[in-house]
Amino acid sequence: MGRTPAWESEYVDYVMARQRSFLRTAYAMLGSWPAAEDAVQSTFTALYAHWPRARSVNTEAYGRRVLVNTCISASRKRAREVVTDQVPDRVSHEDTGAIELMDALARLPVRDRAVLSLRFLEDLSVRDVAAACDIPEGTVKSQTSRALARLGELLSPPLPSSGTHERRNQR
Amino acid sequence: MTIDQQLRDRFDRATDRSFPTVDLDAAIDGGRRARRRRAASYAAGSVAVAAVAAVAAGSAFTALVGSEPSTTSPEVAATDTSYVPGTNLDERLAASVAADLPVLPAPSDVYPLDWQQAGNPPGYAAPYGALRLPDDQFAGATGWQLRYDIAAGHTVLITVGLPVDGVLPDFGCDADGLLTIGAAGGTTGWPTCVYQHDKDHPSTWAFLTVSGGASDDGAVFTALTERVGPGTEAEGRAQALFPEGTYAGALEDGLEAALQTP
Repeated sequence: MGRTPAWESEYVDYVMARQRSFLRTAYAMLGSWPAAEDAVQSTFTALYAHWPRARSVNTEAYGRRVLVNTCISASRKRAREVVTDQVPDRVSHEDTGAIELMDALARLPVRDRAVLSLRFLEDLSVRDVAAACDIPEGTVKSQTSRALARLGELLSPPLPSSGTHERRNQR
Repeated sequence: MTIDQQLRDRFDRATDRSFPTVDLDAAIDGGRRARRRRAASYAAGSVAVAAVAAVAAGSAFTALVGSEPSTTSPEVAATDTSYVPGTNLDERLAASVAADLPVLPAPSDVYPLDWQQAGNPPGYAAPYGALRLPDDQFAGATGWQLRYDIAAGHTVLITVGLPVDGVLPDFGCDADGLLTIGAAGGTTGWPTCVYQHDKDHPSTWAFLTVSGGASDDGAVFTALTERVGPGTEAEGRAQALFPEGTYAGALEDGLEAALQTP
């Protein structure tokens, strides 16, 4: 058996601390818990393989970037494999509002789903979302604004139009 | 309730469930296998590069003296491309980019470079501060570059750095808004999606993005630089295929895999 890298315990701590958050983000992007589990498992495997690099840079941003890229790839692969109008997995308790949200999210581009889930599910700042998605902060803001507007159109009853969505998290 | 509060509330309810636990052992086992494969393939790649160089050198010598080489490498000969004879790495890199960025045409050129040596004049195809190597010196390359000519004045350059022990390249934007790679080492940050007004050509725009960092194998990086114009900034952004900063990261894994394939 090979030597255990000195950084492995650090990696394990990272996985333990982030797995729930990563699963939520992946679910919001992919609309399926099994797909989210696969994506997160792949993400943590890839992170182990590249952990020395991940820890030498912004580990949080690096980890989330791997997750977002993995989910984007998974989303494209699923789109190629299956053409369906099937709604996403049912959420718990038959919560109508939550079901509507997931149905509406499924109609948005996967990159919009990434930005929305990181901003509003994980409560990341604009800067952190920009780092995770590797896009400029201005793009995060404009993409968020467009995605929210589109989401508002898709949801019933529509979310009230408001310019307050940038109020929080301007850290 | 504001729109963001509503969205947060619905998100929370949609993900209100007991979460499965990530299979940590499987993640570690898979990660270890990937690291072993990478280490083995780098070692094999070094041997292969040395063998190809030896064959190439032998062929050149043979051509001079007018006799057939005693050993040949049919695999290498069969996969030679018009870009760099003696290796199929150029072909693999081009295939990787084609898979990840299918919007690009076939590369106009693919060539080895050494980002640890300066030497290119301004306007040269390779990044400033990096030396384009003659094709027959590809075995000594510290990186490769793929050039895509989209239209007049519209070029995309994709650069991939090979692992180099102990040295981290310095990246930056030069006065023309093109990627610079300094050989001195000591990178403290990785520019992502920086675009600059070209000071010498005020109506030309450049967009670049870099992804990379230190790894166990040395510094590795992927960079994408796109130059467009002339026109206004809005026209430049509209004209650019890759005005945002996500592309170098998206290319990274594929190019790294291409480098690791023996």
